[in-house]
Amino acid sequence: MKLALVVMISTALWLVPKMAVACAVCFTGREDETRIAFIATAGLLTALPILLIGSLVWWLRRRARQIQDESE
Amino acid sequence: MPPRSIASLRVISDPRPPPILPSPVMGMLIFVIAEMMMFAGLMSAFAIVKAGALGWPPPGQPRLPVEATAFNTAALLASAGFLFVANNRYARNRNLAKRPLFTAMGLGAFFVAAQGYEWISLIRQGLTLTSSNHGSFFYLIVGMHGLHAIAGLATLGWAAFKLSRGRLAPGSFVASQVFWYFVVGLWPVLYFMVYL
Repeated sequence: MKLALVVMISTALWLVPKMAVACAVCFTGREDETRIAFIATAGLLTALPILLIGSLVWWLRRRARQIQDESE
Repeated sequence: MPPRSIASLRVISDPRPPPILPSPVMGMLIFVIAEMMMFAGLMSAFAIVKAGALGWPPPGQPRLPVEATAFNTAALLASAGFLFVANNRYARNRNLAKRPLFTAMGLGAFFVAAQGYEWISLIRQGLTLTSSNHGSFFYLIVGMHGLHAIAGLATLGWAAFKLSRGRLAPGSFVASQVFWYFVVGLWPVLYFMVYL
């Protein structure tokens, strides 16, 4: 049973990327546009987690202070 | 067995303050942040491939049904509106929340069904997972969103079931709403990137 599961998962991992043909760097053509896209998406992927987690932490702190003020 | 005397009972007072956010909501928010990062990765890969392509969609590939999907998008956005109404009514009278909640679920189910119909039509026209990068990204990104929409519907269905039994906790309801708002809020971004 365990072996069958391992074989199934390994086969899926082996086959699915080939089916998807979604490699982010397999391209040719317009170099300028591609460079801009690389920079923009690197910026997005760098900023997004900071923005999301930062917003959540900021909101939680604000809410905690609000609750504290209400209880006093 | 002799009955326990009052003296044997201990009153345990919890010195901790109440949580800032109910645990289901907090957990769901963290999950949604992780999912956002996953979609950001997919969209980044798509943007890079699209920018490097000489033509988009690639020659010989069908055009995506922009107008029909705009209609689906409107249905999905409306479902979020009905969910908002359900939440407002839930705060006043739980029974009044049922109808807008079921309407929101109906609109969400319509969106998923319409997307499925669209996929069948596109596959018949030759857009498959292996036909081109266009097809690969389309099915990967839109499919991933579709899976999230189905999961969101299941979550809302669970909330509706609990509501009909009168056992829906406010925190759980808000958590299911957070997920659905994520599904709805993400879609216009994907529509703009993939379809337009």
